[in-house]
Amino acid sequence: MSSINHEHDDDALHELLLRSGALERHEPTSDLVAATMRRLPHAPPRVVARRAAIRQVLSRSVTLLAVALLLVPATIGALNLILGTETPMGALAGAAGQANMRAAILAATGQRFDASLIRGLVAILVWLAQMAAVVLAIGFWSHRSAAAGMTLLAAPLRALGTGLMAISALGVVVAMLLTLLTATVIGLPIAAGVALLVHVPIALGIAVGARALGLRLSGHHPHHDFDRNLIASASALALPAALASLFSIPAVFLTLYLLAIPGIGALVLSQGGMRPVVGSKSGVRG
Amino acid sequence: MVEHSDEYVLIKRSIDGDHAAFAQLMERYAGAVFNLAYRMLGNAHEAEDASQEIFLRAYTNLARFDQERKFSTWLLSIGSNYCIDRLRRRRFVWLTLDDAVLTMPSPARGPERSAIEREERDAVQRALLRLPPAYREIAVLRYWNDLSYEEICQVTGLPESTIKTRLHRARRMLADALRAEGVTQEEIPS
Repeated sequence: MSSINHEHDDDALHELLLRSGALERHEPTSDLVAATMRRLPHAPPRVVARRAAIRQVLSRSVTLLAVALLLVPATIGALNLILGTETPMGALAGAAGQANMRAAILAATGQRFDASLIRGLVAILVWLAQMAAVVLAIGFWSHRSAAAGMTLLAAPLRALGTGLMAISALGVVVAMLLTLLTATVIGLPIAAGVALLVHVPIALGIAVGARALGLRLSGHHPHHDFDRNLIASASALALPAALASLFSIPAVFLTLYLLAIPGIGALVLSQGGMRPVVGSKSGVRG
Repeated sequence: MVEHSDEYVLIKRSIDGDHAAFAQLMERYAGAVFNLAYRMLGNAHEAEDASQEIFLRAYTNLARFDQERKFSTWLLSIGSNYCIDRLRRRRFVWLTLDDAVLTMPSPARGPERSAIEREERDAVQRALLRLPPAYREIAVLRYWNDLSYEEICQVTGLPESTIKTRLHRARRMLADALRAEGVTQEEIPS
């Protein structure tokens, strides 16, 4: 009886779907097969499968190695902190270390930059570095940066909020990680690497901001990725940090982080530029 | 039988690296794969993209294809697994720009196609998209691909009892969703 009921319900629903035309097949575009053929690897399936397996093993090994490079020194650093063992940062905190650190900070922030020419050169370098980062980011991720830029234009407040949360979370995690890594000698170079890598999302955030401005100025339909509106936007966005370098280096970093917030938020909202957020006029299909 | 043996010749030639043979296989199943992806993912642009990925995965795994199985169920298995993975990775549901402008043309559209029928068809798709992916998969394979329970078992790797239970629940959810969309006021027996 249960089997009969199943069949009856099946037929009833099938009939309903048929009547509504919902079972009509939609044909793919004629380009589907051709587009797939263009992407098909040249090698036969066995070779492709073997290469894919090797790539997977390598990728997992690299990931494991990267995690180990972070976890092992961080764990040793945590143990050092818990056991009260003197750490490299602790040594720096001693009297001699403090004097050396003060001298280094003064040198980095201003003492060596009294000469206005040097300050001006540093400002130009900071500006050029940002332009280079924007060009590289947009060159490598043209579509994704455009999608994230459109997301920023479509939902600027949401991007700002998301970016604030993201950068705060990143700051907390990086601070904790650096604290643990710098509590051991082997962790110091890794800490330096982490401190550099953490600025990659900052650069991407600024690039997305420049893209969004460029799209706005072009009316959302640029002819090329690097049209003059994008160049102008990137130049304008790079100015605040360049000007801040005339005053102090920490101000440069603070300015960069603040400028990157909306772009980072847009990247998060658009899932790395994979799914742009469009204005609400089309509605969201669920 | 002739068609099957012809298909297995194409599969063997594809395994040996004959792209023309694989292209013929794709021509045969492009519609089925695309419709599966469209019903699972809910938009044409993504379905096209997913269809390409599904065929590429099929090519990569072709050497491991068990010739005792039907090629269609094996391919749909790859397709439904891929679509479910894609739905799980999708944390938010956004429209792409292409969705904003792209409309799926009905294959049978003509002057006589009324706006009401088109709305009903769209309402069914919306109702389908309300189902959780695991139930949507079963419903799509059963009603849109006309697969038997046994074939659905082969595609999903689930036992027949689970398939029937999920299908029963999928029917109820679909019926509720269709009523919410205003498609039918009739009570579909559960």
